[in-house]
Amino acid sequence: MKPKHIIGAVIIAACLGAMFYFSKNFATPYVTFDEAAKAQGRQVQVMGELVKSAGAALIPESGAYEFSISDPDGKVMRVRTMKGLPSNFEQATQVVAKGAYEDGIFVASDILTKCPSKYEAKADEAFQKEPGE
Amino acid sequence: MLFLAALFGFMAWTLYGALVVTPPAHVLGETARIIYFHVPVAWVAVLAFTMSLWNSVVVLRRHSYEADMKAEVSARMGLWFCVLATISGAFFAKSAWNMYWNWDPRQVSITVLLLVYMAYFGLRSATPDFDRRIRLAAVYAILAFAVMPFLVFVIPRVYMSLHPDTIINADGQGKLLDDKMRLVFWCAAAGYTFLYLKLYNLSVRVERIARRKEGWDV
Repeated sequence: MKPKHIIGAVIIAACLGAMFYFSKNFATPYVTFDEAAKAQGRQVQVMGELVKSAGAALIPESGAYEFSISDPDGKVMRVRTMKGLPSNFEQATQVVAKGAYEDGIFVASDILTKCPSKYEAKADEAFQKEPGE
Repeated sequence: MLFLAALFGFMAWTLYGALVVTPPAHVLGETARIIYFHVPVAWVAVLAFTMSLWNSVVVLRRHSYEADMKAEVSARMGLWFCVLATISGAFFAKSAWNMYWNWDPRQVSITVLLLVYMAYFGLRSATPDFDRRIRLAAVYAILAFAVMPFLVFVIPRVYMSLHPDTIINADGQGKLLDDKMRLVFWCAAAGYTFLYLKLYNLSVRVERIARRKEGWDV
């Protein structure tokens, strides 16, 4: 290894390190639940796992849907949307909610879905039905 | 001849397989067929950037004009395939996520990658002295390649992303659970690799003729 190779490697490593260090500022639009709560009223995006057990509930009086998402630490946030749920919401593993946190609930104007990353054939409906159904 | 047969064979089978043979996917339905285009195209972009790296190393070793020309051709191809991956990804995102563009970590990092390689061409055209240009460009291409895997593989895994893991899932299992899907997918990967090699070969020949007409000895 010549000295200039070592200098080159150090420069490259420094660039990567700097990029990684600053990437938090530019790489992701998603904020944590705490940051969303702190940003009261400001438009942000949060991402989390759908809490399947809580399900999505339609609030009959307002026509809004409500559901819960959890972050990797297990913190749970309630999300409400007036726009209805996207068609593949049921199968989504994670969702992104775009909107603002208002008085204990995240009011979303848009819901984005993360679909399962495994691709399997669509089951034939004839097979899905239980015999005698 | 054998090469062309392989290219057309794989590509024809990929088209037919992707549109006819493979079943629609669970959840994503017919739109999942775009993976037989989106993934191989992204793979070819990485391949082309690797080729650009390799030729850039040769430039620094031997100060070869030929290698510089190949490095430039490779970077240009990588950039175009990257654009294709970005556009096909946006269409895929519309059906899978509900939105064409959301500045998801994956979309941010591919945008940065596009800018990094666009800057390569900016650097080239901003350096009039040819001998200086090829050395500067070679060093920059090596630096760009060091950043590339970081943008393609690391950032989207560090931050939560709507994009699924690339190549294999976090649990180490394959992504395609259906035999027909897997077969067509690997044919597509082979087909696009042959397509890349053919395009690379043609581009180098065209570039060589163009440079000779300009009076370069390459």
